Amino acid sequence: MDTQEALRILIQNSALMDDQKDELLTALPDMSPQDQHALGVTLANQRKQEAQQAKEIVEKLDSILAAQEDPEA
Amino acid sequence: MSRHPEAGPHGLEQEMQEPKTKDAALARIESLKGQIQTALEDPVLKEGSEAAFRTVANTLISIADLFPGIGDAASWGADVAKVYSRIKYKKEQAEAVVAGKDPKKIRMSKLDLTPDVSVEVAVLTELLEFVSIGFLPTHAIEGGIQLYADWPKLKKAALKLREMMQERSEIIDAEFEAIHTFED
Repeated sequence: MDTQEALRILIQNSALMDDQKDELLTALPDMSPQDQHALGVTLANQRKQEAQQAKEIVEKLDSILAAQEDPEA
Repeated sequence: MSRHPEAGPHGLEQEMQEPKTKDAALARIESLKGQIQTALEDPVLKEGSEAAFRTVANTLISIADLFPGIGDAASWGADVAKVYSRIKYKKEQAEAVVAGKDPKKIRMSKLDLTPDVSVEVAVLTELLEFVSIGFLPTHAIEGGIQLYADWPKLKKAALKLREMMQERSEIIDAEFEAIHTFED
């Protein structure tokens, strides 16, 4: 997978707002390789952090919802 | 959408060294803004967040209401806001009818922290303040009734949030490959 294709996937799957995704996708071909790499590393890190945080939130919500279902547990 | 088998807690936990550039910093901020906006665009989460805000505000007013003077001001202030909201709501509904619009689309002002409690109950509970010389946190009665009404909304929002987070916690195959492109 080349850098631009990888960046497109990361931008599309990011939590950015739609207009910002469009803006970044449009600017992508004119970005320097250094900026593309920097953006790629940032988006990749963000996605990993987000996935980890989302997983922790799911676990916390599960424990809250379970406690609410069965207050004596 | 398939989740990558290596995308578990150990598969992608290594953080890459993040270059400090304008684009990178902006992407970080915009991503956070995007997450908040996406969450608030969902009607179930919006209703849930409003219910959560009301619960927190009512709890704080009830705590303040333990103290005569300042607590009475907060509690009575909430009741004044309720009466004002109801008057405004009825006025806007009447204007909507005159303008040929659907009055059901008019929403009650968020100033009313206990929209499911009637004005009568709100004012009558304040009378207990006189009996207790201001020491009884009467706003807790309204807050309790409101929490009972808001509970299903809070639970629905929690389930919706869980569903959204579950989806975001899964890294699909294409994303996994894209992430690895930027790992040295």
